[in-house]
Amino acid sequence: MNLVISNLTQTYPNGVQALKGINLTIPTGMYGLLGPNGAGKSTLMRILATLQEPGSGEVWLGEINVLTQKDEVRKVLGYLPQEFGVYPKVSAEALLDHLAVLKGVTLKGERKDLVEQLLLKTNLYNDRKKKLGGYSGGMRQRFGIAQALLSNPRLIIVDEPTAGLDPAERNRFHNLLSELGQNAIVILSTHIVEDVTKLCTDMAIINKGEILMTGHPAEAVASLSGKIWRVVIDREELENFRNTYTVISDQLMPAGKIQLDIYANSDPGAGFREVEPDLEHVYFSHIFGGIHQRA
Amino acid sequence: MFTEILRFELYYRFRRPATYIYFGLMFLMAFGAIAWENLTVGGGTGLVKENAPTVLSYGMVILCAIPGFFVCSAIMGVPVLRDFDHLTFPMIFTSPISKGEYLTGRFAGSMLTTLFVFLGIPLGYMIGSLMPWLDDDKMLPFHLWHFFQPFFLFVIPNVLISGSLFFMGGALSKRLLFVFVQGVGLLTFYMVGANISQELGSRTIAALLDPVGLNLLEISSQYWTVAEQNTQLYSLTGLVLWNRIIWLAIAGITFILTYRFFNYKIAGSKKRKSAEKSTEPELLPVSRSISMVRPTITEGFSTHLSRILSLSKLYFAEIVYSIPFIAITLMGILLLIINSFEFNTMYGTDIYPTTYSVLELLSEFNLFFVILIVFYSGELIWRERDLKMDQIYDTLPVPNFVGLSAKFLGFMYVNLVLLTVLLVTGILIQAGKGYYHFELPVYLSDLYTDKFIFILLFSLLGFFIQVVANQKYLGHSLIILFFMFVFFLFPEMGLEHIMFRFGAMDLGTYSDMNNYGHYVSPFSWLSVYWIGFALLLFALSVLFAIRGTDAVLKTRLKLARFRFSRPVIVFTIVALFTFSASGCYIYYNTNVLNEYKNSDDMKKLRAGYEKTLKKYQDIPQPRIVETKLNVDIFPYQRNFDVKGFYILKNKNETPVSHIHIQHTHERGMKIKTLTFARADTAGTVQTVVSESWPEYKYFIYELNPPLAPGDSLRMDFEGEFRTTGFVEGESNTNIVYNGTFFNNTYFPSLGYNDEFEMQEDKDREEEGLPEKERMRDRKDPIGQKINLVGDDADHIRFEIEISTTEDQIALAPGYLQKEWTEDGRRHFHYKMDAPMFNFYSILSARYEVQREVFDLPGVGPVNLEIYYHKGHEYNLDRMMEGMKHSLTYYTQHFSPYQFRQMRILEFPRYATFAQSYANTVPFSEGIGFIMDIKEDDVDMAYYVTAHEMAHQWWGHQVTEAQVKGNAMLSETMSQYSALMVMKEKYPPEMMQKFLQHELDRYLRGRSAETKKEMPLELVEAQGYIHYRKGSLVMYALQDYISEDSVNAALHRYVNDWAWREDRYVTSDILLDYFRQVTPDSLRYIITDLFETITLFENQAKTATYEEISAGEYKVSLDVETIKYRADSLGNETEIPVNDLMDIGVFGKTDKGKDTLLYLQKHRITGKQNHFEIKVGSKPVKAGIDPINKLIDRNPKDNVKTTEQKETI
Repeated sequence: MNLVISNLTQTYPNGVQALKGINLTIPTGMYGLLGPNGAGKSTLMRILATLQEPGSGEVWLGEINVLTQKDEVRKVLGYLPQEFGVYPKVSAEALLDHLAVLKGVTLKGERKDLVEQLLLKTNLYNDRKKKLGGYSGGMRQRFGIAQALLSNPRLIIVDEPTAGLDPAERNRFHNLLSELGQNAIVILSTHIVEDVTKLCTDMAIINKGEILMTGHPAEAVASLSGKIWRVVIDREELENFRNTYTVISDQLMPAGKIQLDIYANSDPGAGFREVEPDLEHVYFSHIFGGIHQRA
Repeated sequence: MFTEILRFELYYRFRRPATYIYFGLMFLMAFGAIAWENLTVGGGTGLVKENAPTVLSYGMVILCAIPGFFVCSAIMGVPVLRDFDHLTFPMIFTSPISKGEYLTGRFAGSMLTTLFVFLGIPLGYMIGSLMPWLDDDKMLPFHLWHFFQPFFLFVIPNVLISGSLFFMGGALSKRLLFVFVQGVGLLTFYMVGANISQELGSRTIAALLDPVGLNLLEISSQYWTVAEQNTQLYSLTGLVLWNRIIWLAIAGITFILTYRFFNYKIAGSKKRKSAEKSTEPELLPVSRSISMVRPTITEGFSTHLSRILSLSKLYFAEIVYSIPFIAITLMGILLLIINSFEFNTMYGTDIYPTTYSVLELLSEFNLFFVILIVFYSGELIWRERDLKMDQIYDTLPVPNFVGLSAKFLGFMYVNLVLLTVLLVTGILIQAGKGYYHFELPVYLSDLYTDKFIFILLFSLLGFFIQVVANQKYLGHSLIILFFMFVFFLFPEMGLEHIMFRFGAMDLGTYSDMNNYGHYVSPFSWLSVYWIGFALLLFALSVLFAIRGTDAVLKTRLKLARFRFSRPVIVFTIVALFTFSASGCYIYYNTNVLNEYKNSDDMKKLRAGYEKTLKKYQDIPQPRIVETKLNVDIFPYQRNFDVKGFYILKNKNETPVSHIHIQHTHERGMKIKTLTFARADTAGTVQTVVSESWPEYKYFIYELNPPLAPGDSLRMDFEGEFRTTGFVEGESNTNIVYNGTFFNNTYFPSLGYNDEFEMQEDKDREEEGLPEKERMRDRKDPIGQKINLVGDDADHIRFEIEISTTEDQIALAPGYLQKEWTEDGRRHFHYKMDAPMFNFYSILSARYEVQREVFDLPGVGPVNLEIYYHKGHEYNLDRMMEGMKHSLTYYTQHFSPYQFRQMRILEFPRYATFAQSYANTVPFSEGIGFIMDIKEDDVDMAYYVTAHEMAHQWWGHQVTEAQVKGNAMLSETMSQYSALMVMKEKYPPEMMQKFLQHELDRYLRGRSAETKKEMPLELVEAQGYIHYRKGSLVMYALQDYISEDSVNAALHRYVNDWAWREDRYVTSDILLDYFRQVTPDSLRYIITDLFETITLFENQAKTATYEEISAGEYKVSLDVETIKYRADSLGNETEIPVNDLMDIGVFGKTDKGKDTLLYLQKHRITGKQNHFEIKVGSKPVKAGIDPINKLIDRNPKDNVKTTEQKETI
């Protein structure tokens, strides 16, 4: 079963064109949607999660029309919003149990097992009686995943889940997500390249409402092989280099130096040396390098 | 730094549209209050001008409270809160600004903004008052200071007071809801004050405790006359000064507390700490493979149901454990408990806390229900969005109706719990007063139907408005506006039919006799009707509820179409059907089965009646001399049939050729046949209806031959009263299941009836009618020929047969001739042995009877009977004693009692009066019967009985003419008689207590006068004069000239004027009798008491004493006396004093009670007077007119505590 998005547009009343004719086919598995802040990711996620109406276009989840058969979608949907709150005075266990009822898990015994398993899975079991108001950001995020998994969803949408998590917590969260893609479509929207590198089998890069690239992360990285060159320069030279080369990233080094990565089909000389590309290069080359190519 | 914070606050505020919207709102409300006649904001009565300073002050104070608290809290609650909402606080708290600068800067900036907003009030009033369409008669000349003086005196302090509290609430709690709770708290304070200010002794406290200022205004101007209300400004003295000082001090303390307790650190650190504590237990091996159950996902109705139940429990708990809910509920309960100490009193005497009266007390909680509905409809609709859980909830596979139903249901649980709390509170209040007759069915039917349906309807409405408005605070305002519209403006705009007024139905007045009676049926139907409507609103809410992140109207409409699924369609159809079917049935009842007339139609009808038929008012007609009736009452159908005849005699000197018949305007009464015949057998008479106005129920019969002077005619008629279905508005409460009580106004009468005319000058002007004199002139020769019950008859012979159901007793004036049962109905035959006046009542109820034969000295045995409702035995003995004592006193001092029986008949509390018919006194269950009379209380049962007994003389024996001053002859004399009977039984302290209430009621009555205050001798049906002032005047008269002299005069007066038909008596005649027994030196009091409006301002200035020898004391007393004459508007002119007045000295008894050591009348001349009085024991207080026999607006300053003189 695929999620097929065709010609999806969205224009906000203030004139911002959030989506400009998106076409995507998303198969089962972990799918990364990578883009900078304000790219239109969240708009797309919300439309897929039945929370927003697009201006035009169609979305099909297998046989289900996502835009009109919202209740059908919701039955198979697990959604972790970018930002969400909780009842601060209710325990994780109680709130999960309550949400399970709403998802339609009405058999009490089953529900108890389900909640227990999800709490174990998300490593919240020991804190299950604790009030949600006392949860840390990471715990809250894991709680968010637990609630998204309540009814064995076939479509899981995870919007910017690792933003604001410390590295250890992010790692833990990645491990949790990695299991999900086995028999569901999991869409992971993020601006953090590492998330996609670690988890996704397929990906798309989106910016300013447009899809810049789709494909396998590994293939995309491979396609840049031999095209990424690095040099360390003085700060004053930056402007000059920018005008001369297709700069895809610059990074501040100690002592006022700057490390510059550029895109070039052949050795540009001038002290550049070739570096092994990674997904970050793919991402930045599309976002900043202005390279529109399909891998 | 302070100035920078202040500058930024102002910069921020004055760029926000809200500031100008609030200003506009205040301006428009004030503008409307004065310029739009449909909107009244606590305006003065009739003669008080629209822009009088008192009206302006009052209106401004109300606006400060009702929209004002809301606006003030919205501005003053947020300046600190804002930094937490927008998370800007770390930036500010880490900058080099001190806590003091921060708080004072924010406070001052917001306060200035608030004052700017509230400046809209005087400006609105000022500009509104200049609108050209306003009636000049209703306006005083423009006076700028009148608009701004109240602004400085009341508005600014009020804003400072409430603003400081709101600022504190916002800064310390960091939640806006707490700020609103404070607003409710302030209103509660006001409501407690409003309640305790009913009591004479608590008014000072009530005025001081009032943060709102309404009680303060009312109390400090309670005795202001119309003229004073039009000219006088409230001054910053006395109560006003103290109130302002107290509350401004509280405001100051509040600000200091805010400073003291405001946590000027990165607040919220508490939360962070707890989060930190919850460190990860261990870093478990990640992603443990856990086999997951595949849960069974159910769908369908039962799943929805369990979802709704699960959710509703959550919402219930959320509300019940929330602090605002707990706070508001506690305030409400506290209000009830405080008010339960002093509720339901008359002359300081409590009424038993019967269940229905406790329920009336409990309805003071209604405001709190409204507040909870307004708050929590917003909170519930916004619950998920406020918690930012909306995106999780909105993607759940749950239809919209599930969430909304659960919210509604959860809120209903809350209200059911609250209603139960009220029930328990009510029972505890009863038990606390030692009353254990808890009527659970009454509690249940009132709380869980009437109140609960009200809550249910307005909750659904609140939900709907919140869904549609999609902005919480806008939603709150819209709900409040809707309340105001439905209850205040709809009727004004002509939408007065109950089918337009959302939720405006109730179970009516509960009576122990008739329970909820016939109110149940219209109440039930209207409930069904409005519930149908509310369910439609609910369906709309489901369709338009926001789900997801899109709130654009287009999207909402589009989504609504998708959501219009089969279940929703079915639900909508059911709701629509319920609404329209019950609506049709109600319409059929109110407008088809019964005639519906709105108030405009009624005014038109009345005006038309007067314009068309007034010309017949004084046309000579014969008078009824005999009435014989057969009345069959069917109480359980609320019907009766009447058949009978009048004998009409031409008492004029000319023949009467046309008889004018007026059928009653009472709804449901129909005269079926009406025929004339010669009363004797000498000849026949032909009658034809020569003219008729069926719309006015007025018919003119032409007689052929005309009725010659002295001749009689027999008029036979048959009529029926039928109750069909139910009516819009006030239903008939005379003919009811148990406790029927109606009088002869249901039967045909003769000639034009001016009681049907419009009374209000405003209405009359609109219909092009001249202003109406309230009564005929005392010298009017026609008026002198008409007695107080009308011109249809002088005295009549009376006989009646009444039948009713087997379980009831039927009564009418007269002696029982025969009683029998036939065909399962009880029949009674009453006959009067002597002429009585043409005023009789017919009653039927399931009565218990207490009987006694009393040997009345000078008359013989008299049958005394009390017909009462079972359970109302409390005061029967007091009434019985009241009858005996008063009949004895009156027979001894005035003239013999004319009857051999007297009956008191209880009737339901739809009206609360007692009324004296010939040997028959219907007496409302609401007064007397259920009074809890304690040792020191005024014995209301005894007093009312004595008053009604006195009417057998004053009214029945001596009948007054229907002209100005008539009520002085009946009501004032009955008050006097009752006072004298009371004085024989009860100590002077009780008399004084009674008279204090009378003085208060008189003084307040005159400040609410709508036309003109009359002297007692010319009173025009003004209760505050003929009852209240009457008591004071007659008590003073007998004090000056002695009780015996007054009684001697009355005895002569009865002797000369009883039973006369040639001319009815007028007040000038009685005054002549009084003058005859008044020494010349005291003649002036007749003028002061009866012929003019005379007031005194007596004051004890200094009072000292010295012990001149053992056990002998000399008291030195300086007093000031001012004597005024007032005109009909209350303009006062000082006049010279040359009066006899009491000078008194109080000591203390062994028990610590005040006792008079000295009380003597002294001649007072001039303003200042000095007295030296020797008394035999230690004085405590001394003064002039110490027991308030004279009319004095500041009665309390008449006495002063005596101080021992410094001996040098």
